[in-house]
Amino acid sequence: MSVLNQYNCLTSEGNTEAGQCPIDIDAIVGFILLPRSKFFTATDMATVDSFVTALQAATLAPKGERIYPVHDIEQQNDQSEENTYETRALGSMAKVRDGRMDITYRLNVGGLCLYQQLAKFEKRTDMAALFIDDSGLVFGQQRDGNLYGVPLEMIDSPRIVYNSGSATTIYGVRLRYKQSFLKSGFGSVKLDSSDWDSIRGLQTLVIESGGARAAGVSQIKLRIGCGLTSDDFYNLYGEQIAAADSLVLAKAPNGNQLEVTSVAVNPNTKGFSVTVNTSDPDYSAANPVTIYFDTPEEIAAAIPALHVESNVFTTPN
Amino acid sequence: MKKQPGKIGYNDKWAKKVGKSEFLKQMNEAYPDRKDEHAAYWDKKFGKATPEAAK
Repeated sequence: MSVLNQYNCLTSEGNTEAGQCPIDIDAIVGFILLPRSKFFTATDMATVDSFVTALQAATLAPKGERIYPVHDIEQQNDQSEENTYETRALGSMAKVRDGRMDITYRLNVGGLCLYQQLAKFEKRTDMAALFIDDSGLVFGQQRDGNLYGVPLEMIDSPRIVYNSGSATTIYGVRLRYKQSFLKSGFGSVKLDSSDWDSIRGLQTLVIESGGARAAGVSQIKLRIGCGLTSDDFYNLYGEQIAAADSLVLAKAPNGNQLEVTSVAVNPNTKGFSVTVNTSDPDYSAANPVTIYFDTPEEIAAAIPALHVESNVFTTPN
Repeated sequence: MKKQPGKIGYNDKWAKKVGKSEFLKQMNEAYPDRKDEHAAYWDKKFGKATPEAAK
């Protein structure tokens, strides 16, 4: 119960015996960006397997609940603030405030592609981060038995340092946050060190024109942004996409859904032919058709190797 | 050289809803050089004897 004007600081004590198994944070090897409102429950974290499953599912969740894992952090530039102290007139000293954690993590893989994707978060003020160390410790802050990310005050993509002739190009991401969670409210779950590799973010499935639309047949090509070319994608997944035709969706210019009636692989363009229900009153041969894919969750359910989110493509008339 | 036509993934749910005539009409319009394939698919999937049964 709260009592007016009563502030009890005498209970601020800690037990100081180190113990046999203290949590000791190892080198950071990755982090997960997630909305501040996103959390993992005690049920999610009941076992290592259930936590891994919850993390994997969250990578496919709708935006707003989705998590964004970033792997292969190998070097960090720590420009955190020191704590601020005041030295008084007679020499005594008092602490004014904790300094902010402010660390630039070097992106070991992903190059300019990942750099640009992370730059999209720069204006977000509602994001948080879970950190993963080399031992598989996932940590953030806990509240009511749930694990949340550490609220980020800033996500920045610092200036790229080009290849110097003796060192490779440096791409990084800078995260700034309060250090208070490390003193109180720290929450962590220990994964097996290999589990982290199984928690992967999405790539972008790019839909592009594969030619002019004729007789109601739209021609598209598919590629993975920063990944597979359209030829490679066709060779690897062409038959599977045609078999999972229900993944392909379409809309009329008025926003109404058009039924996709078939998806065929097109060996001549190394793309796909998409037909929609031409008897639908919302369809007109004179109007463009917007084509996109179902949710990442549905795509992964149909083709487990595809961990992607598609863009939206409007065919030429 | 023109390559062999690739696999067509038909939307069975739509096909079943609209029936054989509409299915064949639209598929024959879209892929006119593969009419036999559309008809064979329908017969294999939904049966020769039930052209409009699913409507």
